[in-house]
Order: sequence, then C-alpha cells, then structure tokens
Amino acid sequence: MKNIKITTIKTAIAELIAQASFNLPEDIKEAILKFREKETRSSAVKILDLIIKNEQIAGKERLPLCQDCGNTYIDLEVGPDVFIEDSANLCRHIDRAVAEAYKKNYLRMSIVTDPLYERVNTRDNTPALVTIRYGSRPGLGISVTLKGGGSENCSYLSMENPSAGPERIIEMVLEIVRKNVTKCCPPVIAGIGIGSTATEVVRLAKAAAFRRLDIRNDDKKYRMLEERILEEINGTGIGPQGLGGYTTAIGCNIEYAPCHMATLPVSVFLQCHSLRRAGSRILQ
Amino acid sequence: MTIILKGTDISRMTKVINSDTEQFQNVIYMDTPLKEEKIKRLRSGDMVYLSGTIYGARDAAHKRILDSIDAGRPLPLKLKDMTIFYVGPSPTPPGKRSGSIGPTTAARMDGITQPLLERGLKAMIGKGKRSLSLKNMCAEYRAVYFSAPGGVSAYLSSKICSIEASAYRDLGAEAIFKIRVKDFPLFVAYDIYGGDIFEEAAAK
Ligand code: SF4
Repeated sequence: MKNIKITTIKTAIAELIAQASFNLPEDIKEAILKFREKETRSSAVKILDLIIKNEQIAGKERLPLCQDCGNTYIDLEVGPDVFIEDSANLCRHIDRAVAEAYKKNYLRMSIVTDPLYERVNTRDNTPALVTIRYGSRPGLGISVTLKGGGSENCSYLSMENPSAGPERIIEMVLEIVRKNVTKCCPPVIAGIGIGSTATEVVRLAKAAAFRRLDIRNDDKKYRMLEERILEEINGTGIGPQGLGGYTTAIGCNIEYAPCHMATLPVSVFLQCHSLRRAGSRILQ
Repeated sequence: MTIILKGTDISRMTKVINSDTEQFQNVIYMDTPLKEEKIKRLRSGDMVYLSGTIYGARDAAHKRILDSIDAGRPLPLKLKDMTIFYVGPSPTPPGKRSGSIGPTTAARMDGITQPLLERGLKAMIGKGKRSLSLKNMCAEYRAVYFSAPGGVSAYLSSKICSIEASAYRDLGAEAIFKIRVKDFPLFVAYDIYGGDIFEEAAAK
C-alpha cells in the first residue's frame, strides 16, 4: 500500500487550481483554433482571437482567465494501492487547500453561505464540491474543475417520455441553446447526460461537460448523435457571444447509463468555453 | 476599408466593412458620461470603445440600491447619465491596476432595473439576452444595453486604468466599484430604437 500524505494532496490541489485558473486546457485551445478556421464572420473571428489572446495574457500575468473563479469541483480517484492519511478529515483538508489557493492566487471568492436568506460570502470559496471514487489505476487521481455561476445557471434536467427518441433530445438541446446560450458566454460545450436516474443523470451531464473534447464516445450511435447535435447547434447562427457566426459550440459530449423502463432522464449542461480544468496523479 | 466620420461629441468614429455581410459596422470611440446626444447615435451592432468613469454593480448591490430608494435614503452613486457594468471583478493582485474583469449575465437584473432608469441610468454593460420588457425600457428611457465579451477577463483587465470598491465593501466581489476604463470594447446590444443585436445576428 502507498501511504499518501495530506500535505502532498493539498500541494497538488493548490497547484492544479492555479494551473486551471491561468491556462486553458490544450483540447479547448485546439478546438477554438480549429473553429476559427471555419469562421467567416469578422466579429466571430475577433471573439475567438480574443479568447486565445486572453489565455496568453492570463498565463503570463497570472490573472484568472475569467473573473468568475467558480465553484471548485475536486474529483478524487483512489487507486487499489492507495492509503490516504487522516482520510476521516479529508474534506476539511481539501477545503483548507482550496481556501489557501484562492487567497494566494487572488482568485475571486464567489460562494455564499445560506442560499436563501443571508447569502453571506464565505470569503474563502469553500466548501469545495468533493467526489471520491475508487478506480483500478494505481495512485491517486486528482481532477480540479472551476465552473462559473453563469455557466452553472445553464443546467437543465428533464424527465422525458421513454418513447422519445434522439430527435426529441436534439430538439430539447436546441430549445435550451436558442433561449439561454447567450447567458453563458458562447462558444460553449454541450454536456448531455442520458439515462440512469434524476440524481445521477445530472452527474452524467457534468461528466460530459467536463470531458476532454478529444475523447469521443465508444458507441458509434452516441458518437454520431454528438456530432449531429454539435452541427445543429452551430446551424443556429448565434455565434460567439451571440453576435452571429458559426461557432456557438466547440463540442458536444454525451454520457449515458441504463435506466428504469418507465423513465428517460435527460440532463443538459451548457458549459462555457472558459472550462478551467486540470488533473494529475500522485503515484509515490 | 475605413472611413473616419466627424462627430459632434464623439471623439472618433470609423466605419469598417464586415467581410462576409458586406455591411458597414460602426466603430465608435466614446467618453462617459453618456448623455442622450451620444446615446441617440448608437445602433445595435455598433462596436464602441468606451473611456471614462463607470460603476460596477451586480445582484447584491442592486438589491441594496433598491432598498435605499424605497427607504428614501441617499444613494452611494449618482445615476444621472451613468453607465453601470454588471461585474464582480477578481481581486487586484499587488502591483497590478486590476484583477480579471468581465460581464455577468444581465438578465438577472431585468426586474430590478427600472427604478435606476427612472433616475437617469443611461447605459448598462453585461452579457446575454435580456427580457422583452427590458428591451422596451431601453427605448422608453433612452438607454442602451452593451454586451461585453465574456470569459476574456484577463484581456479586459488591460483596459482598466483604476478600480476601487466605492460602497457596500462588505459585499466583497458584489460591492459597488468605481472603474476608470480606456477603450473598453463593447457591442451595442439594444439601442433606443428597438434594435436587438441577438435577433439580428441569428437572423443573418
Ligand atoms: S459563463 Fe464562463 S466565461 Fe462566462 S462569466 Fe461565467 S465562468 Fe466566465
């Protein structure tokens, strides 16, 4: 067994938060550049260029890519050979690492305590949203994703009729895009969860929205559906920032799972282009 | 192709040709305060580089401004001919003029904007579509809604000369900020003639 120290985990989380805040992931940058080639409208080209320029400034100046430094999602994947020190207090330690990283890197604190009445800022961006699962790969996998509030607000759950086919899913996504995509800084990534249950399908949509754009679906039917939806979204003409153009979305990812015969849960996350994610694996 | 037009109170106005639509797009350099004569010249789709003083205020600050209006208390900012930027900037690191800065979703402010327009608010900066009633208010109160590019906040910080929390500091990122900008890039989303950049863009 590998005994992984809390300080090692905290240091890794702090580094990943900084990395995610100041640098766009490679797959997102590549997608922006790829779509820029297809874009003919000058205002659209200009916006896509600004996204690339923004990423260069953010990295150089160590300024956050977006002023909304988001909710902090931390996903841990515990390998079969891993023993975590003081695991009973793991979430407390993670919160402390998040608080320190936000303060040290001058990231915006956006979390309020009670959602309905006081709404007082917690002033350290905690609590982080921690999920822990067991995996088969050795070591401890850590993924950090920062997701802003505007992007979070463009999240949907619908319990569809089981007889609804792929056409209904396409229609649903397009309805959401037409109505709300300008609120979450297009170009976006459409993350779609299909199946499982009401609680789980939202996790599937989240996983889909956070998934790397160069990882495609294994199942050909779903892979084709992803491509079709991406094309349809980009057929709307809404374009970067809603100013018109082709690039309303730079990706569409679907995650699916078995579901009850009486249900067809569908969840759609419109994730903004400022997808701040970073990951690493602690092996020692 | 660029044509320089003379404007009475606009320091510089150029027209650039949009390569695919073959239509002219106005590119206008403007200073605050945005008095009505300036507002009248703006059309949806125009690009504006704004300079001067603006104020940052978002959800929680709006709530407090409205409470003050209801209670008849003095307001922490002058609303006449004012530009409000819906923004919650990231903290300014030492040695820098500003942290990252960019628009938040404007539609959240739709239901609480009328009292500000009644008191002379002339321009709002945010992102995304807004309600029909807000669009109509732009015509009624002779005010414009600008869309700023979202998610490019490190770049936009280079357009900031100074920023300071000027009221409601206890709200942290949701305080009211006094911001001086230089050539801050904006698109006119709603003008006072019913023009709507989002509808026009998607229709093309
Ligand atoms: S939607 Fe994304 S890019 Fe836009 S303000 Fe929110 S976090 Fe930033």
